[in-house]
Amino acid sequence: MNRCKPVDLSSSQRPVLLPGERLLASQGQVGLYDGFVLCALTSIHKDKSSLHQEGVCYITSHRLIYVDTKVPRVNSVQLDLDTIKSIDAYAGFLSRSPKITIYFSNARAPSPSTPDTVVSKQVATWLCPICSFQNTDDIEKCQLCGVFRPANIQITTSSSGESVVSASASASAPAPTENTCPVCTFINHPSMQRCEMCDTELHPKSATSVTAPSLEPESSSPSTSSPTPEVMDEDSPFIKVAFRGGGGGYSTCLASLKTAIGNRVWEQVQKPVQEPDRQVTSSRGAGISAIQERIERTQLDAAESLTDAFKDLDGLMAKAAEMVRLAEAITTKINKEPQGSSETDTITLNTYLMELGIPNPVTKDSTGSSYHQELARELSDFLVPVLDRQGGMKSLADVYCLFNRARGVALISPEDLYKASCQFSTLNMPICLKRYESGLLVIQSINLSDDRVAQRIFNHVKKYGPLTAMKISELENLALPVAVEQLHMTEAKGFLCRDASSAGITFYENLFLQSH
Amino acid sequence: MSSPKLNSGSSFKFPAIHDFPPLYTRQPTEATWQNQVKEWERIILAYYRTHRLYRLNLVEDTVPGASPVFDNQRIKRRLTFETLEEIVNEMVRKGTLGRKPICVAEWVSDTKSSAKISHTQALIYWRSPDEWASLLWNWINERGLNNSIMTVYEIANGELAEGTEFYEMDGTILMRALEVLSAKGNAQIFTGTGDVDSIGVKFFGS
Repeated sequence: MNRCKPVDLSSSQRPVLLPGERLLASQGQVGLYDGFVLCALTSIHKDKSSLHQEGVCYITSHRLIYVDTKVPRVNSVQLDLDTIKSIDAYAGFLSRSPKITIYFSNARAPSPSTPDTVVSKQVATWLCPICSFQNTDDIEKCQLCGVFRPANIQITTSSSGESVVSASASASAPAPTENTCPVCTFINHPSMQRCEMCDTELHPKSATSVTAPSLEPESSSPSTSSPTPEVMDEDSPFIKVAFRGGGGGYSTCLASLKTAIGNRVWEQVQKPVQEPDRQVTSSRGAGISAIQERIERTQLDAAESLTDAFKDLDGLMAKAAEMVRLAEAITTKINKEPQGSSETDTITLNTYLMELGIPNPVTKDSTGSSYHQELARELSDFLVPVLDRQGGMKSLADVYCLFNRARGVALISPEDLYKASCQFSTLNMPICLKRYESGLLVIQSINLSDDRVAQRIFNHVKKYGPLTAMKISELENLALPVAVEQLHMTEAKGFLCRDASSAGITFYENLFLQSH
Repeated sequence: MSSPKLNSGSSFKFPAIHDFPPLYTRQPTEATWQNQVKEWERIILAYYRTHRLYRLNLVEDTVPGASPVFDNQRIKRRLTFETLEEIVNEMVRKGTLGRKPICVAEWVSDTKSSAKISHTQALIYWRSPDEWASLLWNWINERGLNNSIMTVYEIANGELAEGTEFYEMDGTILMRALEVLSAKGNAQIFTGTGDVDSIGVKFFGS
């Protein structure tokens, strides 16, 4: 398990994602087995992986993350996807839970461009002028069209002809690094287990074939605990992820993992956000016109990405990350310009931009059975800073709007929000759901007690004199129904008393209780 | 015995809380409400004592502008009939429930259907019947009226009673006080045939 590293967790026990990293899937009730030791479910052979008996498995574009349910801070581990050589799936049978076996490559981060077996001979070829078929040097007539070789044809000696030769020889000698399908000859990625085109099972004849075939019988019968002699590493050569609890989400996770490994996102260099105004500086010198032009161009660029983003939902999905980056760029730009518009405007704009964007929204597809718990964690991460800024209490309806706006795409239903909010207390989140007597539901941070709210409201009344709910909602930056509830609660505690007149209910300091 | 103020002018000064707008709204919080009732009780008793009033007519007194007690023109707040009814109810209840009953109010039962008490009129006891009784008894002894028979009308409105606290007092409350004396064995009530005023009372010796 040396490959597994500890994970950075947020306050709600969700993994912190790297820049550019995307969450693809997650699944609760997952166990982790290290190598063969724990394949058999006997308690005698329990390794340190017994610490990873139950948790949530996250699959991102970069990593496989296991977050333990019981002791998340200690027992959670992560695994970089680039150390994975191949994966094997076991769909489960009767009481056996479905499992994904992950094999590690011994060499870290193998690069497909460095083949182990070198091409044995350099082949000289000539190109047929009629059909452009590449013939070997020793053939006088084109193999494809039968045209004789012209005398002045150029003979090239290159290894690039290799694949063509092998293809024409109908896979008798496939290229060493490529995973050529024996049926349709499609050259698959080395990590693929089945052909992408015709779904035929592949037997990769690459450098990895030294260990892979020997492990395959093990994976097909995972209950056997016999060690393999081929294991050179002192580490176990693979880990298993077992999907307990009915194995729901197994197929989703498997698919996501395959996509993630196939996409190799970690190889793409994270492109820095290009500030649109930097790339084009008008050649026509300085002056106001140049500045104006530049501003115009910036606006044009922004408008373009906006229209692009709203073209259709798929486009929006793809552009969401870009939008967030744009927002961040604008934020930093505003911060750099201290003399900008009025202070409050800047702050408001900043909050709007900050609220725009949860990079990896939790969706039903990506989480499966633990959907509401994951949603609760995400919601908690999102709400804690918002609540800190805005009086520590928000009605559920407001939260729904804010949260969905931040998600941008993959909107959630009110019911899902409610169910997720109900999980706060069981998950020990720093926020909680509170139901007032009137039935109003609010989410408030856990350290905000009724007494503190009452004291704050009371202080307002002391400071400003008699207050209405409207005034309180302005002072505290609260929604009106929340302000009403807080006032009623403070009244019930005896701090306030009411005056119902034709102008509405006004709250006064409670002189009745103080005079005694 | 301090001599009572008999002037019925505007000398009565309402306490500061009378100008407190929430006083005219029924408070939903129980503890606050109890204290609100106490405030009203204090105001009503003080006002009625000053003005020597005995009866509270809920309907008439809650009409806008009818009573300076329940309609505060300065802050434009008025106690509603319902709230006043609740307040008087609390005052009556306190008298009947308390261990040492301090009777401060009593609903006036309708004479026509005595079984049903209509909540439109209440007697306000700014002095309890016991206090009235001892006041009467002292007066009887001072004036040497022992062993003489007097009518109820004589006691409240007679020449002898002029200048006393119970001069022109409410007949019903006077009867309550006489009943107390009768129960103690200090007086005997002779029910006549006519109205309340013709009832005779004989006071015994001390």
